[in-house]
Parts: sequence; structure tokens; C-alpha cells
Amino acid sequence: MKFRVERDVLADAVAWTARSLPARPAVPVLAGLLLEADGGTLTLSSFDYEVSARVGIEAEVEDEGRILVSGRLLADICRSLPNRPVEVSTDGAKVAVVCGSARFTLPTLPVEDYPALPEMPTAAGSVAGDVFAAAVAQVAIAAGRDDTLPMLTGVRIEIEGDTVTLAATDRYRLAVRTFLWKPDQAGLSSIALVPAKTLNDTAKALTNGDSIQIALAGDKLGEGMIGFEGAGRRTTTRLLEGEFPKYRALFPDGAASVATVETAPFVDAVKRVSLVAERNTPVRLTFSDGRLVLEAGSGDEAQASEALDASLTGDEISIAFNPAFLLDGLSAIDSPVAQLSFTTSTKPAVMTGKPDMDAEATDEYRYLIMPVRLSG
Amino acid sequence: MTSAAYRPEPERGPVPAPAHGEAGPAPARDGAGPSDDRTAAPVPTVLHVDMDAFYASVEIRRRPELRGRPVVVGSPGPRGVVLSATHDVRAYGVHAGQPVGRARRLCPQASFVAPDHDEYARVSGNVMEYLRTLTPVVEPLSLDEAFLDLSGALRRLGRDPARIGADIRARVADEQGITCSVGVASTKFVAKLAGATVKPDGLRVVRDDEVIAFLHPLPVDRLWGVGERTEAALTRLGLYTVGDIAHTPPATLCRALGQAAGRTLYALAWGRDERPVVPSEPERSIGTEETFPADVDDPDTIRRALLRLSGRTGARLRGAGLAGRTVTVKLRFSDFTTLTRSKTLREATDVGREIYTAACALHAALGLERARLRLVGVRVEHLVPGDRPRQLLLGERETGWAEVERAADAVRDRFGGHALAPASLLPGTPAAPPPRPPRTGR
Amino acid sequence: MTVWDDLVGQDRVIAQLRSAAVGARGVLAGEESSGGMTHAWLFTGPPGSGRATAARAFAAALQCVSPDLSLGGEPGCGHCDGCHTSLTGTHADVDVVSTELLSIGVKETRDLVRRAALSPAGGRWQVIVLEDADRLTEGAGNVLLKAIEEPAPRTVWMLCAPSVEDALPTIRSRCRHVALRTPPVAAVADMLMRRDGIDPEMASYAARATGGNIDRARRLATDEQARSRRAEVLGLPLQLGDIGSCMAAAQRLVDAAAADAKEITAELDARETEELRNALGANGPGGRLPSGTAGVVKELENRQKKRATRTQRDCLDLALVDLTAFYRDVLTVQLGAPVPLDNEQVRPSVDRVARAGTPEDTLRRIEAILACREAIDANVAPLLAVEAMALTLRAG
Repeated sequence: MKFRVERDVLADAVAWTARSLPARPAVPVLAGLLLEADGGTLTLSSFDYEVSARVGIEAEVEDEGRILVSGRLLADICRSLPNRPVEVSTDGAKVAVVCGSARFTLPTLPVEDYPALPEMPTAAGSVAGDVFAAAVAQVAIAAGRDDTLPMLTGVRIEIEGDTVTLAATDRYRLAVRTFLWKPDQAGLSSIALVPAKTLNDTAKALTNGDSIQIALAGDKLGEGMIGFEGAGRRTTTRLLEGEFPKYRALFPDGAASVATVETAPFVDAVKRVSLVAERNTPVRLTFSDGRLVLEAGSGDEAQASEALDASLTGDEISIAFNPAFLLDGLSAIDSPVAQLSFTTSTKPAVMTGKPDMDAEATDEYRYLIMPVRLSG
Repeated sequence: MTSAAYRPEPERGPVPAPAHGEAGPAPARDGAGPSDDRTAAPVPTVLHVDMDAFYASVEIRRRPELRGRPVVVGSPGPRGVVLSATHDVRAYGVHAGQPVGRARRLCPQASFVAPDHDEYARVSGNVMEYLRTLTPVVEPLSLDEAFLDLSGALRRLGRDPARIGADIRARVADEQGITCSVGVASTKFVAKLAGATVKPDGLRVVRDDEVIAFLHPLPVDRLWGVGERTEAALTRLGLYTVGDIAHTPPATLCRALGQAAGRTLYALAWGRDERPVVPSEPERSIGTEETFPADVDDPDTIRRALLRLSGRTGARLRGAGLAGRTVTVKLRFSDFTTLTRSKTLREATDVGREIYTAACALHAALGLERARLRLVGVRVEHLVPGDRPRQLLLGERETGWAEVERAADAVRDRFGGHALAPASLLPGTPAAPPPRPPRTGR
Repeated sequence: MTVWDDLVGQDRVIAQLRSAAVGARGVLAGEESSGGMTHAWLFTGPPGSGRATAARAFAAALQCVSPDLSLGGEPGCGHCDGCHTSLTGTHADVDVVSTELLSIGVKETRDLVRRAALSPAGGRWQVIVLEDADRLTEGAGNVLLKAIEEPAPRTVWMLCAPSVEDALPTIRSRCRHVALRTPPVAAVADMLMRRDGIDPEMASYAARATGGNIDRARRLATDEQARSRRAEVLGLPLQLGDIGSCMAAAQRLVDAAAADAKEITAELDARETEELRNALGANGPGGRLPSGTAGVVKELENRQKKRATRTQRDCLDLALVDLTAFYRDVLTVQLGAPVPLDNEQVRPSVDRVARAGTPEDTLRRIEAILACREAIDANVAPLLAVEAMALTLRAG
């Protein structure tokens, strides 16, 4: 095998593919990166039995071929290459990488032992890259990280015609986002539970380009898998098994109080107040007409306190939250103004974003957050 | 794809040792020949510290006029029993568990003293605290007994466990005014036996190459777990000494005594005891346990016991103003092997029902449906103040067991402990069994 | 070449599995199940008969993607991607589960069942090969039972155990049974000659001496040292002159077994470690590992240590089995049975020992060896147990 590629293009592709290499490979060959040169393309692949990654880059291929090398080693080498075209060739059981005056050799791994990568399911539709990236970021933040409850570590993707809904929860907060996309077939209906971490990585890495294809199998072949393709890169992930909570029922009907606060000062105040108190001490929010008072520290001795402007419709309310969950929500709504709806101090609050204090809130993104019950 | 080997379960008890060759030293044959061609036997690092006639000793310590006289510590009341007695009294046939009236008749010249449990707990606490300065690996078995594992501490304390044992005896005598006996060996079983042979106020070291010579002549009832029934079964097989057991094929033992007991005894007869010394910090947990009057294998009975114990633990936590994050279940089988399993909850709890749910899950996960149990225990660890702010869960019920149990506490405070109980624990179902009398004297 | 080549003397089994593999192809094409294909299998057979090998071969045949198939060829070519990676254990949908521990518990089995429920990444079959199914605890067995009773459509379970009795009754009643037999000596000898180029006389000796255990036979045939160690073991009965010699003989036996084990594992360990280090990015043997990968190598080393201990015990047990074979030969001679000896080449020794005692003596000796094997299995220190045995062998 022998080919030439641009240095930056190669380094980029190797770095991205190497991210899907397992840190603790179930078998040694999985630590390898697969290189396939044919036609005018070099394809790089990695796999850990759950997630596969594949990218094709332009290359001058002199001799076609297929080799497997240690992913880690190749990634380290690529990082230290000078800015010149790179020439890669096999020499018996070794691979030579020549770039400018630098020359490296790597041993090859047994390529015949490398498992076949899963096939991409047939594409289901596409969505603008930036929309997808934003949606995933807003939702994945609420996913659980506890492996003993695996179905909570995923993001639920619901496809109903031209509407996609993403939802994630760790049972303390729930984030739901809907957006429009372009399905390949009309009347498509599908559900998938995708590990949040992988979805996050995918959203960040595959959205450089204009649009991203989402591929879900509705039929037998490729069942249990989802594929994403964008910016010349392609990943597949095994779907999670398990029942995702029936989350729509968790949103309260109606609200006894609705408060509106400017996001930026709110965020700053929460940060300041929680800095003074011990980590994860709950922050108590007391809404009254025109005012929001934040206090950290439970019981009678508040350890820090701040006041902000806020407008309130409905009953006054005092309610406490984990500050980290609050801040996650405020940053996810990504809007100048935050609207919070409450019923009682022990029921969930719903947070959404608005462009300004008087505007109507949309349902496009909602962040549900459970309060902390302070000692009574 | 290929899966890697499984991770071992952290089990204790005489399951035949996993084959990793480092499991305990090989006891050498009797009259050991020169061992230069083998690696030197490892230093025995397990110590068993046992305070002599503990309650009695503590009483004597604070009432010097009793020194040198026979003393019996007995629980008060018409049906009191002997809890502890000085060694000279035992010669009269007095022993722990005996009714006090009988003891008085057997040894009328003894002084009979009522027990002061707070003081015993205090003294015991002091001793354990001192032992913990030597090594963190201290496993108290009761107020007056503890195992130590010195393997991590040898470099600091000097490489001679016998010396360390002697120092412990001297220090405890000096600081607490009571004597203790120390046994040193490489396994818990042999260390405890060694100490027992030199009680009171003695020290005995059994090196690895002496284990067989030490063990085999002993009568079978010295083996841990051999009570009357087992002894009778062994006698029927013509086995009277530990050595006899060692030279009997394990299959024969298993047929006569059951798989687990057979294997355990065989292992013990060859000096094998895989149990590690597990450090515990008693102050850091709240819990309770219960011994069944007869061994139980009915899952409903066991669950009811877990419900009872969980309820009690919850009440004690609430009474102490604490909550805990880790629930531990302890199960002791009819052959005395003991397992514990723990589960850490996402939030600290003081609710009996939540503790019960976790305890049941732990018990069910073991999949031991038909194993016969002798004792069940529930414990909550990683304690934190009970009135901490509580992060609520989506979809959680507003009021639940926490409120029920607090209301029940109030009822019981007013009307007495048995005024209120979960339905499955009502009379008509077997009532809470009385605890067994203690096995060893204090 | 086919995937069945590694199986020796198992013609009936091969026929059974080939038929099932063809039937399996039909199922993938939407036909009704045929050829005896089913989703749960139990492979049994004596040690060395090739249970796990048969299971892997079957798995490979199920995952075979040879272009030949569309031309009417049979699955199990051995060359294609599907076959090769199944045989090496790297195929994404073939999970070979083995353990160094004494039992497989509930938690591991739950994980396994969960993995088994996933659809195959390659779109064909999700195969689980459970190599030591006799080590399932009762609780684990119940967990497995549920999964076998209600299988996912593409999941195939393959359990391996020494005999049907070793599998829980509830499980074995739901599995198709594949019974491997002890390969006939002639078949083993034949394979040694064909595949390993051993000369006929050596092949025949090795096959007979190891009683149909292919791996052992191969080692014996190719390794001079293994043969000399075996000869030593067979010489033990004549070295029991006095107590001192008994002790010395016992020590030699234990040492020989340890040396045997060391040889076996050293080679395997070195290869595995090299493979892993290469894959992780150590540049060349002895090269430095990239940061953060030392833990993975350490895990491998731990597994290897456990395996080494197991192998030591296995080698010692095999040496004791060889010794038992010697005394069986003695018994044959004493009873005048018209049966060929296992160890014809040490006939003079056999005769000597036969003359010096009665059949009852020999039976007691055989029992002493068995007791020794049991004691070692129950974790008595090996040297102690072997010494005790040597003394009994001397006394008779």
C-alpha cells in the first residue's frame, strides 16, 4: 500500500477517528486504526464494538491496500509531523511515514483479525448542522451519568414526520427540545435511545458542514443502531435498551406562579451566592412582586444573599434548587430572558427562554428541574 | 469479540480459595526438614486479642477490694444469667448463660455484681482505639475480642509479631488495668485457637510450619462451627481429632455434613482460612441484627425479618437525627459462613421502607433462595445529619413512607413500642423471635 | 480448508452443525427454520475433545460471508472475514465468554444477557459462546434460563460443559445437545501426521499416551522436554524405596508439573503481551508504552497470573492422571487382561511393579492418587498432598 496526503487533513482525520478508540480494548486489534487506500480516497476507521467512526479523505493512491496500525501511535506521530505532504507506504510488516525530513516506522497489527464494521442504516433524513448541534447540547446536559441506571444515560430521539424531539433526564432535571428536519420519506415514525456522550461527541464533530444525515433502521437490518453522517465523517452507535421514563406526564398542568428574570444577572448572582456556601448547598429563590432574593445555606443562617429584579405573575413562592442544575438550565436556554413556572415548592419548575421580558415563551425548549426540600 | 475474565466477588467465608496461589501459606509437614531450598515462610501477621473474663475484669478494676476474689457478673432480676466470671469461679462449674441462682449454689463465696454496660463499652472503646493506633486493620468481633492484621504495619512496628503481641498485652494491662490473651498466626482461625490455648493472660505464636502439629492433635470441637450436632456426626464417622478430619476424603465429609460444612471443615483441618481481617468502625454505622431460634430458609420469613430490622434501624436513625447512604445486609448461614452485601443509595435515608427495599434487593441478588440462615442483620453506614436538604426526584410521590414512619414514631412514643407495626409483622404471623443466649462468656 | 478442520474424530458432530448452519442461512433469507437450526446449544465432551473449538467453528459458519455461498457453497469457508474473525474471537457479534474464576455469578450473567439482547452489528447472528457453563451458580442459571426461554430473534447461545449432568437440568432441557466424544486414537494420530507433520510412530505414541486429548498429544509429539518429563512421572512408581526417596520423588513430580506449566504459559503470555503492547502503541518490543495505557497491560498481567496458577494445577493433575494410567496398566497385567497397555514403552517397569504386588494393592494405589487429586482440588498444598500420596503408593 502506498499513498500521499496533505498533513493537516490527515492529522485531523486521525485525531477524530482516534477518539472512538477504546481505552480498554476488549481485544488488542480494537486499539488499531484501519487504513484503506483505494481510488482517490484514504478511509480511516475505528471501532469499539459499540461505536464506529469512519472518515474518507482525498489521497493520491499509488498502491491500493488495507492495513491496521496502533491508533495511539499513529495519532502521536501525526501530531508531531512538520507541515509538508505526508507519504505512507508499507514495507513488509512495517509501515513507513515520511513527511519532509521526518521519517517514522510503525509495526502493523493483524488486519485480517479486525472485525467488520457495522453497515450504516439507510438514511432517514437530514437537518442543518448548527441546529442539530445546538439541540443536542441543550438536551444532553440533563442526561444521567450513573451506569447502574443505563437507560437514563441516553438521549431519546423521537421522529414524527418532520418533527424531531430530543429528551434527556437524570431524574433530577429533564430537558426537551423539538426541531424540524427533512425526512427522506413522508410519515416516518421512529424512536431511538442514544448514549448521551456519543451523541455529544458526534454533534460537535460532524457539524462543521452544512447538514447532517441521521440514519435509523426501521427494519431488521441495522436494527438497534443509529448512524450519523456529516462533514465527510460517519459514525454508528449501538442504541441503548431500556424503558425511558414517560416524561411528558411530568410537566405540570398550569402554573401558580410565573416569574421572568434577565438571564445574565441571574446567572452571575447564582454563581456568587453558591461560591460562598459549601459545594452543592442548595440555593433558595424567593419570588415576590418585582423582586427575586437568592440565598445560599439552609436553615435560618443564610450564608449569602442577593437580590435581583424580577417580574412575577401569580402567587409568591420560595423554592430551593441545586445550583449546578439551575446554572445548566440557564445556560441551555441560551436566551436573554429566563421564564420560570412554578406550582408548589416541592413540585418541578419549568424553565424556558425568551428574547425579552414581554415576549411570549415558546415550547421549543423546556427544562424541568426538581427542587430541593429544605429541612422542615 | 472476547470478554475478559470476570471480576471476583468480595466474598468471605470458606468457599474453596480462588486459585491464585498466594492464598495463605502452605502449612509445612510435621518435623519440618531444612527449608533452605524453599523461600522462607512468611511471618504470621494475624493477631487475635481477647480480653480475659472481660466484664468481671472491668468490675474488679474499679473495685479493688474484689481483687483476688471470685467474681461473677450476672444480669439482675429473678431470671438473671451469668454474663462473665473470673477464671477461678469457672472451676466450680459456673459458666456464662447459667441462671444466677444456680451459680450462687455452685460457688456461694463468689461476689455477684450487676453489669454496667456503659462502662464495658467505654473500656472496650479505649482498647479498640489503642489497637487502631497500631494498624487501621482492626476487626472487633465483640466488646472483648478483635482481630488485627499487621501485614501493613510490620515495617513500622518491627518485624516480630510476637513482640508486638507482648507489647499489646503490656499496654492494655498498664492502661486499662485488665489482662488479655493474644494468639498470633497467619489465619484468623489458628490465631484465635492459639490465644484460647493460653488463656488467661497468655501469648502464643503458631508459625506456619507449626500449624499442622498444633492443629491435628486438637479435638474436633475446637474447629470453628463444630457444635454438638456436628461433633456427634464426626464421632459417628470415627473422627475425634482435627488430624482425623484432615485425613478423611473431603467427599466423605461432604456426604456426612453437607457440601459447605464438609469443605469448610476440611479446609480448616489443614489450617486454611481465607477470611481477611476486615476493619470496621462501629461508630460509623447504625444497625441491628437478629438470630433465628431455628435456621430459616423460607424467603417470606427472611423478608419479614428484614422488614423488622429495617424498621428498627430507621427508627434508630431518626432518633439519632441521622440518615445514611449505604445499606448493608449481613447473612449468616447455618454453617456459620457469613456474607455481607452493600448498596449505596443516591441519597441518604432514614426511612425504614427505603432501607427495606435496598435490603431486599441485596438479598435477592444473591440468588440463595434455599440457603438456611441463622442470622440476619441490617446496617446503615456513611451517616450524615438527618435534616439535610433533600434533592427531590421527578415523579416522586409527595408524601410517602417517610411521613408514615415519622407519624408512627410519634404513636409509639406515646403508646409503647408494639402499638404500631406493618401488617405483615402482626401477630398471627410468627412473632419476633427472642434473641439466643450468648455463646461465649464475657 | 473449512472451519471444521480443527475438530478431530467428530464426524457426526460436524454433520450436525453443518446442517444447522445451512438451515441458519435459510432463516436469514426469510425461510422457516430447518436443518436442525435452533437458538440454544449445549456442547459436551471429555476434556481435550474440542467443545469450545466446535462452538467457535459453528459460530464462524453462522457468520460466514464467503462469496461462494451465493454460488451454492456451504457456510464455514474459514477464509472470509466473518469466519476468520469469529475463529479469532474478534467478530463484533461473537462473544466468547470464559473465566479464570471458580464460578460465574448472577451479576456477570445479567450483563451477558443484556449484551445478548442487542441486535447483531453485522446483521446476521448475535452469538454467545459460554465456555464454562458448568460453573454457573444456581442464581446465574435462573437468569440465563429466562434469556434462553425467550430469545431475541437473532441471538444464538452456545454453552459448553464437560457433560450434560454439569449443566442445570432446566437449562439443558432447552438446548440442542452436541455430544463430542473422545476422539479415537487413530484419528488423533492421523491429524498429528497430516497437520503437524509428525512421523507415524511418534504420532501413534502421543495419541495413545494422552488418551485422545488433542492438545496434549500435540505437545507430547512436538516437545522433547514434555516427553522426558512424562517419562519421569512414569518412573515414579519405581523410586519409592524408602521414605526419603518418596519425599524426593514427590518433589520432583511437583517440580516437573510446574516446569511444564511454565513452558505452556510463558509462550502464550509473551505473545499476548506483545500483541497488546503493539496495539496500544509501544514502538517495537520493549518500547515505551504511551501514557495512560499501563493499566490495561497490568490487567492483562493479572489475568495471566491467574491463568498460570490454573495451568499449574492442571499440569499437576494431568501428571497424576498419567500416573494413574501406569497403575491401570499394572492392573491389566496383574489380571492378565487381553487389552493393549497405554504405556507399552515402559512395559518392563509395569511388569516389575505388577509382580511385586496384588491387584488389591494396585487398586488401593489408584485410590490414593485419586485422593491426592481431590485434596489438591480442595486446596491442600500440592506438595503435601503428593508426599502423602507417595507414601501410600510405597506401602500399597
